[in-house]
Amino acid sequence: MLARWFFISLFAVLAVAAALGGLAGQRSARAPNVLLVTVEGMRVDALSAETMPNLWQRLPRAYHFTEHRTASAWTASNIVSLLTGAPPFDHGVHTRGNSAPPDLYTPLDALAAAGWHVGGLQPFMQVNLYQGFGLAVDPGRDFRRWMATHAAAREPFMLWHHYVDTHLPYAPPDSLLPDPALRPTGEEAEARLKAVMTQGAILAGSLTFTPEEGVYVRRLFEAGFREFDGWFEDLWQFLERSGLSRNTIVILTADHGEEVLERGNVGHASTTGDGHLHEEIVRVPLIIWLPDRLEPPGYPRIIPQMTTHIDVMPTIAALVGVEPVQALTGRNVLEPLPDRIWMGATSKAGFTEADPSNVAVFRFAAARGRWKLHLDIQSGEPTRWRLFDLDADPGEGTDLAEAHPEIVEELGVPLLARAQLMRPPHTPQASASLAAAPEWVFPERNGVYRYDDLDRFRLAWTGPDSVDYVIQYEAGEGDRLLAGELHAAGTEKDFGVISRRYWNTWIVPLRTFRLRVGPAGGSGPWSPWRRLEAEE
Amino acid sequence: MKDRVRQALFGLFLLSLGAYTYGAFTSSLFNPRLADERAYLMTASRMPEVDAEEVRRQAEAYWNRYKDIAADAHFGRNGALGIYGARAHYQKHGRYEGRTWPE
Repeated sequence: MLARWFFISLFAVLAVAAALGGLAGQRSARAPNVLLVTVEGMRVDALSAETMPNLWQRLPRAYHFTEHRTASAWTASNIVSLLTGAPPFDHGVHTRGNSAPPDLYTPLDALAAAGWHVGGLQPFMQVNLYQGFGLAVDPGRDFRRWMATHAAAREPFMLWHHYVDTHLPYAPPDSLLPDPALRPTGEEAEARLKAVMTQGAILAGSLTFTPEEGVYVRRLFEAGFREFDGWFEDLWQFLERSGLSRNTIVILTADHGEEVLERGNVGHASTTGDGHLHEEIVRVPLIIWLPDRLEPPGYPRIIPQMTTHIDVMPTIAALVGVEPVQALTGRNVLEPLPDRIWMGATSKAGFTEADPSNVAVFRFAAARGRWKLHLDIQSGEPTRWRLFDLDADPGEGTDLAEAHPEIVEELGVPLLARAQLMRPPHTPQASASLAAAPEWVFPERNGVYRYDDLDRFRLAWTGPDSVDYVIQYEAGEGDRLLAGELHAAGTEKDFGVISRRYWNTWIVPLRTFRLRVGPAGGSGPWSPWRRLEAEE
Repeated sequence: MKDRVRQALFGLFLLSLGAYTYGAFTSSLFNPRLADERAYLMTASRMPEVDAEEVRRQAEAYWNRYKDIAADAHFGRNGALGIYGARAHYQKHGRYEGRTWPE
């Protein structure tokens, strides 16, 4: 009798456990994943049926925000806004070496605490700019495999992936080159076009393009997005075939737009050193695909209201049901939006500021409806106001500030107030002491390094692992010299595996590098300088 | 008293059976499409991490076998895709052209 009851009870307990286990699996599988894809320099008019046919055919299922603007003019400042919900006025990431300040509210940490795996997998995410706001960087891992691994284990994830291959120089594969009939001929034309296809930036005044050459440059720019469109289709197929599309929120936007000769430059703040907030830089697409069950009933698919990068994180938080503890400045874009003023801010040279510890020139802008106001501030003092009527003058060529002082006041008063209260750059510091100067372990010698010499892109040195270190670097020469610092916990800074294309696009053009490492705080002792030359 | 316990256990058993059946019918067990997706996901999760040395070795073998690809500006040795160009070519074009991938 006792044995019978024992087995009946055991069977009941096992049945309940199995049922609860099954239901728990169902529940965790329904916690939506988030995939945020940012595309380098994808200005809003790069999106067309001709340039991106695969993406275009996916638009009817998406929520498409047609009046979206970035928060800044260069990558990191915008990415920090996307991933924290804080505008550049508040997050203080204005140039290289900066990090999100410790007191900034970080929604990604809240997401991680609620059970989401929050990740970024690309080597460049190891730099200070992307530290301090909850992004767990695991460089070198394949992002499809990373998503599949977490999905197979029924663990929800939030992944940020940045598509970089649309960055200057515009060197599309031969199969995507523009129609040869469009290519201007002649030795001088060829030299100018070659510059666009091989250099990291074209500065205003350095080259004069004919109208025909300008058209071809624009086609070269677009060719990069045709290549991206193929990449996007591969990603889409992966999401569909794996079933992830039924449980993943996919958000597609750009870090910033791109100037393609509108004001004489080709590039953006971090390449031209002349950052601004004109429409070709700040107007980018925002497209959101939702699992069916998360689609807001009756909400329009095409949303022409003003939205901005700081709205993305509040939208994610609302969709996944992890409400931020602190109020964010932005709004959930999948709810009716109020009439708002858009504001943006950028340092003049973004990543390539001449002196990261003293950013002298900032540019700001505000927009509402047809009006857009630009403000320049140098060393704390307003130096220039400009007003444009975007309906009549979408290229922002005719300054109407004097003709419409009432509009300048309406937009300018709140803009100047925000600008004057803007948070200064934050550079992480820590004090530490070492008995002996670190010695370089890798790179193990001075001299030339080629892509094939490196399996991983990493720096390593001797010293105690428990210490925080700072790596000082100088890269490039002459006018293009960049100097700055990277922070590292322990005796290695591992950027993982980088592609040959990344190496050729970002590393080789700078060519010369000098590095030294010491304890954080800057008091030394320092390692000897390591002198490196990068070649293809 | 005994009957009540027995009834409670039986009720618990029925509830559990219902929950389990619901779980089974909304899982890959009885849904071929979900089973396919699950298999794809598991395969993707077992893909090897990027091993640059192995990728390079296979790319060299492919380029050595097909000189026209080795010289290609996009997929070749000095192409924009670097060591990933060979596999990208094979996946996009080579396999449809009857070329073989060196394992």
